[in-house]
Amino acid sequence: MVEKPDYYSIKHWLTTTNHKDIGILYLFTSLYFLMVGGSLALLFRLQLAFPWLNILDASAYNQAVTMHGLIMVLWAVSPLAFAFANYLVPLQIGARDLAFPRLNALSYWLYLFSGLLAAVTFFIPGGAPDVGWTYYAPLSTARFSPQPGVTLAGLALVMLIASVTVSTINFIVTVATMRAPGLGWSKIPMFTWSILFTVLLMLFAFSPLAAGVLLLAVDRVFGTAFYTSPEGGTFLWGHLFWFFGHPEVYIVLMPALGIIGDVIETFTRKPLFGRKYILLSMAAASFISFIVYVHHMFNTGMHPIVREVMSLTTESISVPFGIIMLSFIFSLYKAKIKVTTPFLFAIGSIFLFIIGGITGVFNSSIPLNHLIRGTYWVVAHLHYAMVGATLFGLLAGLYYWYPKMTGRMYNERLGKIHFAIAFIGFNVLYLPMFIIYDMPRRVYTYSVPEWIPFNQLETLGGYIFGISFLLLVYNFYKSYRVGAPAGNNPWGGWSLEWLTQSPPPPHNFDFEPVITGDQVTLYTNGGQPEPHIEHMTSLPMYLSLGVFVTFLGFVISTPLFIIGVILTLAVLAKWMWSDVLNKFVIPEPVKSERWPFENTSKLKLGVWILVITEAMLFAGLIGAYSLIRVNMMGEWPPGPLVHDVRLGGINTIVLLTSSLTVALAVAYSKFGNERNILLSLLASLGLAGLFIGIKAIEWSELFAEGFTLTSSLAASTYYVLTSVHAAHVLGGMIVMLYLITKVLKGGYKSGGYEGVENFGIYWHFIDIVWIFLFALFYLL
Amino acid sequence: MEAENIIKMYTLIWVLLVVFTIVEVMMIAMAFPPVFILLGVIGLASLKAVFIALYYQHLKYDDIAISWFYLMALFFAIFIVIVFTGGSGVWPIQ
Repeated sequence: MVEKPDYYSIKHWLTTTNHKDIGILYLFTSLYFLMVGGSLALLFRLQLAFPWLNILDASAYNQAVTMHGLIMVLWAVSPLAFAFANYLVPLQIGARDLAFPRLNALSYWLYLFSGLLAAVTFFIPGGAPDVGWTYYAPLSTARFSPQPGVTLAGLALVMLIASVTVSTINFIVTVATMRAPGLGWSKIPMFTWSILFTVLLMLFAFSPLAAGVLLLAVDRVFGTAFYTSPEGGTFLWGHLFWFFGHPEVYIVLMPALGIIGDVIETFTRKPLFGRKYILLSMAAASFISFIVYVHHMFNTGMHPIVREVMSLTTESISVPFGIIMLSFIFSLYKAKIKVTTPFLFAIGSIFLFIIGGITGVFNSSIPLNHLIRGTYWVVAHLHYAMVGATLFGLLAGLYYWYPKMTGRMYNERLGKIHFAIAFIGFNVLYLPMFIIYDMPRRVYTYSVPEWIPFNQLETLGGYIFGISFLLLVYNFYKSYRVGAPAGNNPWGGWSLEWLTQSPPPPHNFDFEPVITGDQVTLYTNGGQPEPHIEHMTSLPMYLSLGVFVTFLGFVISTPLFIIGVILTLAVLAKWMWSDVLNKFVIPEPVKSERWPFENTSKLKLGVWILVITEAMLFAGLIGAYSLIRVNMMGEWPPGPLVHDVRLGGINTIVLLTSSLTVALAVAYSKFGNERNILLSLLASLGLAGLFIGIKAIEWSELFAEGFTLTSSLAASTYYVLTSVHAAHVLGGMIVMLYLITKVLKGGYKSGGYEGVENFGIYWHFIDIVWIFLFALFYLL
Repeated sequence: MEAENIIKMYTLIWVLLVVFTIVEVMMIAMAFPPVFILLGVIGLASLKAVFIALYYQHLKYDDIAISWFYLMALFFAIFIVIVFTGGSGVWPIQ
């Protein structure tokens, strides 16, 4: 049993893996980044209050705008939603924790250090990135933006993507396999549903962005020309970025919709109107969000058919959101509404979302899009959707669950005043932007006299909106100290989190939540609750610190880079060794609702979700290959003219054989034949080594013939894609060494050989990727 | 399934995968028409991937929901390739 440090000690917060603690860490960190991003906004709003004001010069203005966008979208608003997700999803589904508590801690620490890495850019030579949060290439390439801050913020993004990936795996597995007995999908609270849709969006959206950032990093560091050549260029970045960028809007928005659903259900004291249709609409909107993104590229000269199709899909996405909004509004009809601060913020969010949504429909029209692109119309629209709808929704959640998190009631009067000031400030800030829709965005000053009063109004609104948050801070701080005790269920909510203490104990429930029948009924068995295991480990924090130092050193100092690499490898080794010794084992939940994954363990499902993220990474890279190859047409040399097809074929057979030996290891593990498992894994390791060896020979021969990384775009594409694949093979070899060690140490004696089977899923995926790379590069 | 049968099945799948790979390489050596090679190579690669997914990754025996995840990723991968290349202007303009 691990000894737990005092709750208020620093050690507790550096080592905790409890989902509620992680939620609180997310909450404070995201609010901190919200303050940083907000302060930057106040700075450039001041700059725009008068024409030709020089509070910020052009470069400083661009840095402020870029970092404001990056921080708000990636490090403030979305993580604020995940503060609630961490704290509440296990409570709402009656679980003890998330499926993988250590990985959850890793998600948080990667998020924190990635944000710090982005923030560090303000203090290095050349300053923070000034290329816009969209990082449009070729502006973001080294040719046009050589300052190291652009690279460093890109690496911060890579860290954040890793954090998001780990979170995605954790939440999907938790909701899918750890629901309390009887808690079927139809009974899950709206907020948990919304988080499920959010992580599903993250699952498919973030990996292609990783592919885009990787190509940008290779361009900036190794001098390739993915984004500076006409065959790749701005089209390539636009596709890879906006395939992520548009769903990201819904990634940010969905949790707020879930909160609004829960808040309306609670304060209207009746079920949501058309709940099933709201969920179907959320599912439809999630899917459609991936097939609309080209509307961000209408002005690029994209093929007309693609533009027309995407114009239609963009308009169609307003249908599911219309259904959601109408259902929320109909839910208020004839309800005995209890008007509280969270309710006001929820209604405010709906109101602002309707404005943001309707003004968004204008953008789906190709001719109108040409007119308003790059203007303050777009700024107003996106802020009504992403700040109005989302932030007001999240603030509803903050007030709604504050009593649950702290055990204290906040001051209702102050809360309502906060809402009134924030709502007025927000509209004074953004409504005038629709009126001066012809003012170009991303420009640090202006000289049109008619725009002056509107800009001054906007600045005034910005400061009112910003200052209103001081009321929230004061209210929450004072209430935490002297607020009235909240009790378990101050609002009369029906979901499971309201049935336990406020704040909940570390193990969440003193009983086993069981739901029966059509109504949500809770039975307590009166017996012993399932054991709750606290890891209390600093490994996630040190691993994230190691990556932070590595990336920082990579850009500013080689010795720092070496220290970072050593720290990262040492922590990874320690983590793996502790797993070899089975130090951290959490048993499967004894009884849980897990359709449609009855026969899939938590770990196995986690590996499958990881494989899906990897599949999307390679989908992005192969998409890049396709775009470049089609654009190069006759200039792309056919594979057989460049590559040794026979040697490539032999290497393919080597990798296929390693898949056979891994499959045999899995088969032997089912029958407990330890000797044959070891032999199969050793053979797989040898074959993987042989594959890498042959690859090295091929590369050296190609280099000798002048086919180098930067010799042509075809060569660059070949080396990047096969390197990413080889890195996966090397990662697989490390896991094989881990499995061999674990078998030798008898680490599987008690828990079966599930690790071998799960590794097999990953390894066979790597084999599948190679099959396609072999076809695309060698044979075609 | 018996241990012996499982090993036999895995070995048979491996033989098929190797044969498909050899056929791919031979198609190049025999200089078939480019369209034939394109369809043949992508078709055989897809077939190999399906065999590996169904039998080595056990999709055939696992919860069907996992296959849905896989198919969703496949859908988006195909969508990405079509839109990325479609956007490049190689399609005939009406």
